[in-house]
Amino acid sequence: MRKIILSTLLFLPFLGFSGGFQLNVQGIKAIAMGGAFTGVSSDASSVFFNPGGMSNLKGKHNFILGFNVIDPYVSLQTDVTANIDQTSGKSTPFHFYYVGELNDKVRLGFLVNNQFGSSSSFEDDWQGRFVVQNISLKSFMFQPTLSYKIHEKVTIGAGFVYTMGTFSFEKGVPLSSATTTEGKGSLSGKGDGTSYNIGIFSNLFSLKHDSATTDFSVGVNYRSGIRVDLPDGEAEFTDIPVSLQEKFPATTAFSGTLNLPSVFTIGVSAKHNRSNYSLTFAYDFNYTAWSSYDTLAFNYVNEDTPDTKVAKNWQNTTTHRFGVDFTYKNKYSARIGMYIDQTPILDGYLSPELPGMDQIAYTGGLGYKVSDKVSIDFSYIRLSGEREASLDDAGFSAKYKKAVNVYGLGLNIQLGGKKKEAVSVIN
Amino acid sequence: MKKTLYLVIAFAAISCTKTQFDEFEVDAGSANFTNYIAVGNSLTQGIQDAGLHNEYGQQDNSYPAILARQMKLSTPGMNFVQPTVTGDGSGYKHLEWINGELEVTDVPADASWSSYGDQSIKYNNLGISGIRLTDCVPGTALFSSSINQVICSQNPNGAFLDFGTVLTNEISYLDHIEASNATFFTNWLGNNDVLGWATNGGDDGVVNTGLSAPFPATLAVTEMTDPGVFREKYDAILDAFQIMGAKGVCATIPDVTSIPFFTTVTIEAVGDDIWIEEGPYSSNPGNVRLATANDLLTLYASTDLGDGIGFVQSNPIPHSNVLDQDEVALSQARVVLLNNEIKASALAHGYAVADMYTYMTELKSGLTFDGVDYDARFIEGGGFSLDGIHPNTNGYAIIANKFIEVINQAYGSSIRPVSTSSYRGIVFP
Repeated sequence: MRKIILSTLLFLPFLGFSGGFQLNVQGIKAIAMGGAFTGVSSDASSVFFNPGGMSNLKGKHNFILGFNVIDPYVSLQTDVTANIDQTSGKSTPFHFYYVGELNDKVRLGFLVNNQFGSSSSFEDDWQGRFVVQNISLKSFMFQPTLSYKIHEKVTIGAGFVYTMGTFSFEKGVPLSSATTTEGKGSLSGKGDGTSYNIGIFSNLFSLKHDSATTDFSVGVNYRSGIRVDLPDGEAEFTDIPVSLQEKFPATTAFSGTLNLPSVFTIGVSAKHNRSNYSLTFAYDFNYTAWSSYDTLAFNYVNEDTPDTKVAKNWQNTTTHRFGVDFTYKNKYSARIGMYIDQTPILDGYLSPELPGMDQIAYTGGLGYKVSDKVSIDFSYIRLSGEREASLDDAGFSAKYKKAVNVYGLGLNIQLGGKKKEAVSVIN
Repeated sequence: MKKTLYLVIAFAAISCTKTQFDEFEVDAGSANFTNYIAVGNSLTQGIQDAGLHNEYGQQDNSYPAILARQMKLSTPGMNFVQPTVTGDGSGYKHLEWINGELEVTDVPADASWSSYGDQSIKYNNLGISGIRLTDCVPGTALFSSSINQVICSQNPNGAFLDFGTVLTNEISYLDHIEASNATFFTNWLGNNDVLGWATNGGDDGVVNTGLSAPFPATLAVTEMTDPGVFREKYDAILDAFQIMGAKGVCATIPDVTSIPFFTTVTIEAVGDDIWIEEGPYSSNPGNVRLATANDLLTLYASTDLGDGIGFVQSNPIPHSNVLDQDEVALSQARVVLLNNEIKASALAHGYAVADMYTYMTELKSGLTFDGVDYDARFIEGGGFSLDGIHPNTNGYAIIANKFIEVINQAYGSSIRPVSTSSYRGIVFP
């Protein structure tokens, strides 16, 4: 434990820390362990974290249903305004995972979750309303998955991902008339895209001591990037002076594209089993290809409306995740973790709706196995940070303070498994 | 012990969601804003759309008024009074939507305009549209103070100040400054010592005085001011403020040729050959020739072109509506010379300088504040009003922020800038 903390500190100087709009809340157990789960894969969330890890699951049918409440607090200070609070409300992403056993070698899986999302809003008259008033991005992923045990210790898995995305954006239009002080533009669109999720998992080896075993595992996962086209977006302009309504009509169609990044992960874990407890250490390394989010562009069908093109210029990021699970009598679990997250957003590109910053997040959680079939888990993430940066294209700069609490609750159901199989016998 | 624990828990719980920033502390620093006096010309008076009007708070948002409101946050006791117009003021230009076209049309002067201002009130904003620095301070030339008296007292925008009577009781603009008891000042005089000449197409604007000899029969009311004379008069104004113990900021003169008044009507925009007449200061006075991209046509030339003037050699655009390339060079050079005098005089008196010359050049190539883009294009550029010379309210807010930046730097004060996007730009129909 102490060693892990030390190695964490060693990493610090070399890292920035993440953000973007990836939702790192895809499994309650995983969240509590800092999101380090690719090399653990001990529940049905493997279908997301590493399809290769699905072979670890014992029951005939494994279900997970989980949801999170993300409770963000973001405040800004500009030269002009002492304090501006984002008015963004809580968001509640959820996940559903299923892994079922077809035969000794093959398992089937399915997931529905929200892997990317972000939503921010500000008071109507806020200083930066010509930069952004409200923005919301939601994604729903559906993923049928198959895993195959190619070797006693090695399983590969692959899933096909279908993504549905919705996007809405609202900002002020700086045109005034005798009766209005400014107009407003509202964009909304939806679209879909496809991608894949592949992984390989290996129970490398076990060390046996007197009355204990220690299992070492490794997993590698790659989720490909997703291009979500928004072909039939609708733009609405309101409170536009009559003389400029050709340029900003009441409604016009627009098209655009959102490029969601690929994520590569390598994860390792060590699980120490004794007769009445187990202790698991896990580490994940993520490489997220945020450079896919280079430009956000919208082309309006109405020719007179000037097209929107926002340079994002996001950078690829790395994340280090650390987690520990302590389980007593295979019934009570306590988990802690952390992750060191790098922001993809360079100085000069920091937009007020998404003030990403390098950060360290701390996580924790509890699990309780109600019966052989049912267990419930609770997780918590705490992250906070400060940053001062500008959005040069918009002539906007601010200091930001952010604090986010994320509360998660999950239900884990296992049906048709062999009874009372000790976890320590996994290999 | 337990108490401490509770405190720690309570603190931790609060700190979980406490992201708010504290209120600003606004301080005057070493400046004293109790009696802020603004001196200058139309830019200071708050002219927009070729007039002094207040339909949507245009005059209420002159840059000195914006500055004063921000100063007041540090100095609650201060008062700042402007000679505010009523109704349509001096008259102005506005936009109308006529048969699917945007047109600039005139709103006539308000009936109250003939009795503008109250000479018994001591105003804080002494800006007078059209005034040159040279008109403000009596010089050494014969009848200099009388000439100033005549020019100032005949300017309707200056009716809120008493300039006395010619020859018997002449009160100069400098006299008003000396009587102002300013504790702080902004001085943005000097533009019209070039600008009037330039907007008249390089013309001295000679008018008859109607007075008999030995008083001059004519006056050149838009003649460019000689740099030496300019320096003497600028020094006189800063001397006056220095004697009062006032602190303040001087501002340089923007390049007069970068404003939309000169950059909107171009050969390219017209798409045809245009004949122009060269002015009296050009290399070939009276010469009629084809305009090149180096000649600047004024906004008034668009009226000529609309009337069919300028398309044949026999009917050129009159010289007063063209700043030809020689005149461009003359006015640009004069601005640089006068700015050197402004900077030297301010330095000698220990006053800060807001370099509006440089700032307005930056604006020409485009500035963005809070997601709103500004440049120096007519109407579309966002920062200038419908006369193509003066900023709109948005533009004045940008200027006020520049002054605030310089004041804070020079006097260690912490006046907050304003949110420029919360001010109106052009009012569209």
